[in-house]
Amino acid sequence: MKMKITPDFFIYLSMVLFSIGLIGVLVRRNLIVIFMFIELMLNAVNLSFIAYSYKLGQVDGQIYVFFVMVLAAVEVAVGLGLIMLIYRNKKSLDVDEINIMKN
Amino acid sequence: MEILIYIFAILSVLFAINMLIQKKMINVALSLLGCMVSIAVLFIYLYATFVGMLQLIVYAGSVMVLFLIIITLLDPFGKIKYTFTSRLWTFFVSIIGLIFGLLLYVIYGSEKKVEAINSSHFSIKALSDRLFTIYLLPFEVISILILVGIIGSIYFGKKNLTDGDEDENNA
Repeated sequence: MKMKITPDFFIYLSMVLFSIGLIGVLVRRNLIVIFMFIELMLNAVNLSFIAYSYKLGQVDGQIYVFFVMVLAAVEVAVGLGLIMLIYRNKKSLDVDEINIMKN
Repeated sequence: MEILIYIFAILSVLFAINMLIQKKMINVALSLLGCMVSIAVLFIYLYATFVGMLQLIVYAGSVMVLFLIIITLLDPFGKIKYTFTSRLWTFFVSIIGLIFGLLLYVIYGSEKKVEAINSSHFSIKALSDRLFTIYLLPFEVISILILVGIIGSIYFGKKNLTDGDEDENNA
């Protein structure tokens, strides 16, 4: 397998994906959709880890990605449980209506 | 080969932009699925075969199934609101400019030369050698994290966990 694409290309790509995820987190008003954009940002960071692991010729970046994936899976399990709880109590997923801590 | 990688890179960005545009929750979830699969292809191209398969199984498999279950339990075709104010716009532009600037600084500050790639550096054997020697402690700690996550999600799934009014009366 010949290599012509430089690792920098993948780092730029992860930058773009991370920015899109950040815009999504800030623009969207739905809890589940915000959560999905957080997953997108995690994926972008994983991509940059892999790109640097390739660039440096070391396998450590892949191990970090492994840990990030486990973390993301746990985060999704707990976070979706919390979202279900909020929906059951407030009957809404809109972050503008969920201001329980205000009063 | 290379053209395929460019196609998948463009595809992942397009799926991500589609996530921003779509109005229904279920379409956003399916776009995220496409984005994750495209990124898994890029992982495998960068010699990260183990992580790429893990991305397919863990992310595109279980995490997306969890998302889709929750979406179908709630309202799958509900429209999603946006907030777009000019103040928010300037905030975006500044934050994204900051990220881009920082990363460009890092990229141009780092070494240009790519290490001589030897695919045996990235074999499963090399990965597990490091994972079970140097990274053994994080590996064990993350298993405790999974346990905590299981207990937490079981607790949040309990039926009689309500708004807090009754709790105050009981306490």
